[in-house]
Amino acid sequence: MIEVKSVSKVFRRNGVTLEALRDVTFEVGTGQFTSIIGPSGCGKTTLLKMMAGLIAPTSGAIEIEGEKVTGSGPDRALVFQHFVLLPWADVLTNAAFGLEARGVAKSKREQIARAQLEQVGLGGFEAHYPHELSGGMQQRVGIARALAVDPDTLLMDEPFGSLDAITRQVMQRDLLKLWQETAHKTTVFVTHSMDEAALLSDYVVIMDTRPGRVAQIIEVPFPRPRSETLTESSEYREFTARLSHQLEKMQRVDMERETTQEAEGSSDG
Amino acid sequence: MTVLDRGEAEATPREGWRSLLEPSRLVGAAAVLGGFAVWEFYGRSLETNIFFPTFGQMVVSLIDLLQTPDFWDAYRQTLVPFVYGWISAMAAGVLVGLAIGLSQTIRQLTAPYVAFLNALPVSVLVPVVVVALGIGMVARSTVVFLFAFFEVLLSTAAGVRYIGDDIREMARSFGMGPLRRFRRIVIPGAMPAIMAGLRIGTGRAVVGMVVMELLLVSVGVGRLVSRFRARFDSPALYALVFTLAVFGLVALAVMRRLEVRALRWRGED
Amino acid sequence: MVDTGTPHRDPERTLETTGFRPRPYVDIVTGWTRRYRMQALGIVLGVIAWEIAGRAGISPALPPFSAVAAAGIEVWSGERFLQAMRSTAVAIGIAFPPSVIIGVILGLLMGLLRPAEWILRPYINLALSMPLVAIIPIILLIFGLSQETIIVVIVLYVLPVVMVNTYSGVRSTSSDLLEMAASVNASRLLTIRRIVIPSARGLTLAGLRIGVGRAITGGIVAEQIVGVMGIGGLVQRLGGAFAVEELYAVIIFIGAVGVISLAAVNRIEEHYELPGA
Repeated sequence: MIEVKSVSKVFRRNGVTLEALRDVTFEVGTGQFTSIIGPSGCGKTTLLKMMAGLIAPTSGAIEIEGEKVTGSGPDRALVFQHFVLLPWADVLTNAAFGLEARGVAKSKREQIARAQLEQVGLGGFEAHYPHELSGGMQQRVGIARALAVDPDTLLMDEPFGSLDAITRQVMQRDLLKLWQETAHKTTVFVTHSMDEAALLSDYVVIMDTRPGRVAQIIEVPFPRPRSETLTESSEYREFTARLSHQLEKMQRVDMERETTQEAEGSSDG
Repeated sequence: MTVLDRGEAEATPREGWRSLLEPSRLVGAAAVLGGFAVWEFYGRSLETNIFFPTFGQMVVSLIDLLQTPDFWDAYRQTLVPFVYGWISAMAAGVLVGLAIGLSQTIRQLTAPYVAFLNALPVSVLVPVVVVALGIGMVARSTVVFLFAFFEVLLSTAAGVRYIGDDIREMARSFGMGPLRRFRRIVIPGAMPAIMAGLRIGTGRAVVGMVVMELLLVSVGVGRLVSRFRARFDSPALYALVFTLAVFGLVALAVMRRLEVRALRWRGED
Repeated sequence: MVDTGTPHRDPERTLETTGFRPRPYVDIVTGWTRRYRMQALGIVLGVIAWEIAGRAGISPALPPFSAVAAAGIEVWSGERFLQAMRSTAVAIGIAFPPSVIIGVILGLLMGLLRPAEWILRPYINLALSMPLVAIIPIILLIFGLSQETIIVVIVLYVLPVVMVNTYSGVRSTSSDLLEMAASVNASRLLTIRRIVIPSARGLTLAGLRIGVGRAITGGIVAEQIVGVMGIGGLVQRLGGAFAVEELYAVIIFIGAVGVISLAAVNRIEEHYELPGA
């Protein structure tokens, strides 16, 4: 169980103050898939990095299973938007990287990595190099790398944001299948696509921007296990349309606020 | 066809030995031969060849020179300080470059000195070296060292710096210790820049060698230069300069080869 | 929020069993004030170390900083120094502009006409790959111990660099833009004027920046080899006379000029919002 308790984050750079997050509070239940969604600038990536232990909150705290997060830990693994693979290492080495970081012996970690690569559908590609793979395949390596260390919590930062529409769809469906059929890891998934969030998650945390704060927490009403045909159902479409509108409204309000501020000559961080 | 006339000539590059027959290469070779011809005719048209020999005269002198033991002795004497200075510059440059690239404190403390030495023509340090160390082997090696050192240092430091924060962050998120990070991320990531730095540094070392020969005239090639100049033996002087140019070109070609080789293998454990 | 039941915290898996070393936060506080403070500290520490080492008499070649500073004030206002500076400046002033003009023209030529590129390429590669210093004895032989030698050397140092950068600038013109021009049937001249030359501006300026550095380097090293004129000649004479304090003062001056001119050219490049090559 991940508890975000009144987390705020203020960035100070070169004399400019930026309030990225204000008083964010919510919970992620164990074994649940929770998406964080919101317009640009709402601090969702910052929040995820705080859960990962890479950034410290200015105030408030994040607790996992009752223990305060003070740094990175073996219980969490990240999947990055831009994959962040080692370009000079092959797929197998990349997938085994998280294990190598923890000092697991070579044969053992390669064995585990191989199994994970198989599971994400990259069996047979172990000797390839990242630049030889498509975006979707590179991200699969990233996912295999995260799963290989067997974390309690999976933290995914817009993992399909760099992919084209069709690949994204394929990846979403494969992730849904993978998540439902294996250990049901607690997952926090940052995205800006309502469709994606509705398909994959149990809960959606909608955030507003400037400053980043929780606007709404919605339970996704579709029963598990879900299949990819869900996206064709009318309830799904209604649900996502309703929430997309909400997101759009928030983004427009934010844009208007920017322009009126410019017109009035004031600036707000 | 577009203005810059691209595409056609590059459409089907030739493979292997046939690449030597590509029009660009052929015309280039012809241009060089043409240059030799112009040189020859211009030389012949002069009243005296004291300052400017014909191409033919230079070639004859070159062949002569290559058969004189004096010539090879001179080069032997010149190459010893070159090798000392060159090797130590590469080693020291990489080590110090790594230190500067990795530690922000060191980088900021040394920044003014690096900027100064980067903007300074290194040759003005030669009189200082002479005052401090004389004109013996140590002094001569030091001159070569100074010419090469800064290039290697700058390239290495830059290479470490621009590995990419996201790769570093990814490694941190998986809990990789600093020593392992150094081995698996810093070194492979900085390798292209380091190899480029070594190549450029080699070129600079050769320049340093020539400067050393021309300013610290005692033994070696520099002595031959003085001798030929004093005698107004222009064919011999030109021939000697020709050998220096060839030496520089060969050294660079070798380093370029090594650079390509090293980068192909890098990253394997 | 409802807990789905199965806990995933494996009690067997602790720090010891996973071998994971938790990395604490690394909050990087980098204001620009820290950077400048550290650099200033670096300078101060260096000066102090220099002073101490100089006083300790480690080597006759290392006078204390204070002695250098004192000598500096004398030297920098001395007639000999000003004359040397003038001589070098004149040589660069005469050699640089024509080198740039011819370099840019030839670079454009190479970029626009394939045959020109094929013919000139090997010469430029040669000039940039060989130790150009080696050519100085030859120039010296032809032009003697005169300022012409210095000027010719500077031209040889600057010309290839400006040429190759201008050439690169031309070739870097976006093919999208060229296709667009062809699609609206723009004349060759118009395309060159409106698209190619502006596109080449960035790299050409970079070539100029590098050229300035090489003009100074080439000019000074030529003067050192010739030995009688300019800053290079001054530096050689001071070295020969073992006048270390003055020598260091002159070197500091040269370095400062280098740093300032580099910064100035960078500022110009930035002003045109052009990325440095």
